[in-house]
Amino acid sequence: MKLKFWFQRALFTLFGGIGVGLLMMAVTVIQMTGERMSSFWTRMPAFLLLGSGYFLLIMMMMTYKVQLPLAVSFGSTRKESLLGLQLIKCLCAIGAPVFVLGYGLLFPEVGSAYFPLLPFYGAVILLTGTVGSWGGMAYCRWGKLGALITVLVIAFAAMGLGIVSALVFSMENTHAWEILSMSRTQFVVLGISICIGIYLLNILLEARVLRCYEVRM
Amino acid sequence: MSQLVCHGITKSYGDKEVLHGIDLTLESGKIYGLIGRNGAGKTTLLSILSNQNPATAGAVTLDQEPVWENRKALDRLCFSRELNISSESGLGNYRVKDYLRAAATYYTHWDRDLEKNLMTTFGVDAKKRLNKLSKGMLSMVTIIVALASKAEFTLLDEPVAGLDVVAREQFYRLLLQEYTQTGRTFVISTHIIEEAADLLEEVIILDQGRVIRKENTQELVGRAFQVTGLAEQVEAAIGNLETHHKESLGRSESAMVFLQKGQSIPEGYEITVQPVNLQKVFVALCGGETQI
Repeated sequence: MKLKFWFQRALFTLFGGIGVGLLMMAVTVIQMTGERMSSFWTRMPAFLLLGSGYFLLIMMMMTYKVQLPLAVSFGSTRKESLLGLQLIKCLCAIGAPVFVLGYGLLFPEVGSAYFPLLPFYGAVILLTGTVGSWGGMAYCRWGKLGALITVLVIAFAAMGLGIVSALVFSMENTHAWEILSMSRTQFVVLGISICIGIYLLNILLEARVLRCYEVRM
Repeated sequence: MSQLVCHGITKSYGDKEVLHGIDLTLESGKIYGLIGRNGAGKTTLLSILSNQNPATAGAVTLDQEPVWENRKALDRLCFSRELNISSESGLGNYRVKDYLRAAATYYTHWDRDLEKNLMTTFGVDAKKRLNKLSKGMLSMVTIIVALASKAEFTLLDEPVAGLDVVAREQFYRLLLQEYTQTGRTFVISTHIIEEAADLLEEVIILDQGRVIRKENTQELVGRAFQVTGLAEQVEAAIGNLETHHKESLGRSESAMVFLQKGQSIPEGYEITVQPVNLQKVFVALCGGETQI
């Protein structure tokens, strides 16, 4: 198994996502006044998670367009590439929440509130990576039309991610799980299960697409 | 001796069959030339040989082991593709050094020193993005990948496309140097036939998805002759000989004949018999007949 190329790509995606999160945070902090600044630090993990999600979404599509043909042309097997694609998604899904965990441990008064939902956030990031894969596969299959589909996927994914984020980040106030007649734990477990279920089904889809993959450069 | 073998390779895109049951054996320690007209299926064949594209039917083996999705076999192969960087291609944003770094992660025997030497020899700027390189420079990058990979079987697709004559000479010299030092096997697809002819130990001629010749280059060229004269004299002289590419100009005729072992062109006719080069042989085999 040769996964070094993919591991490098996964690290780039993880740190790139964190970077995007920090950039989003920097843009926000410029607009903040002194009073609101106090709540800013509690929102920082949210920026990191959102940044990671968006960046992973974009990078997965790019990976299908650029890195996948490159890897196969350099002698990667399709099985290695399939594993590599999962490595990117999983490393980001685990890595971003680990960053938030680290932040929470360093600054418990502002970061520990995120701890109970970290697995859920990880699962949502995994889902965004999966959506990115759909865009990438659409590009592989339909070329330019695929690219158009990709743009639509991004739009819908961004909308979906926004709704999910709004629900999750304001959960303490809205009690979304009560609307579904569930306990909070059940709600989180259901969310994680759905995300992981979609992700696992997507692996089968990706394996099917890659089985007869042809390099076009 | 290692062998890379195609067993009945067929490739179709929809209803169109581009390779028709190709059987081919490539032996280690040789430089092969893969020549054919545009659309003959050269790149497709090289892609299938190197696991980059799946065949519709048939299989490729390396020392009896299947190449398809076989890590062990792929470690011994390198197919350095012709890079076509379009505006749509995301690859264009790669810097040369990143592209080569990516290659180095896959090729087990990647030679960093050779990579650096070749970068200097060709004057390729490592910091430049691929979409900022000229066609010739892109060819140089593919040559660097092919040579630095140190793969036992190295396939090059149009390596000299866009290269000026000095760079082409440099490439031929480097290839020969690498070949004599390591005994690696090279398969080179090219349209600049005559320049490369001296390098090619064996030539594989692909025409409309079929291998029509696979032969030692010198032997093939050595048994091909251009026969010219009055049409009736030429017709009488070539008789039952294997003839290709007849050209008529008024009452004159010219034909390419291939002599088999022990055959000769009969004497006593008013004809001119001339030896030909590989390019002429290729045109004769793939060019069809001409009547003016």
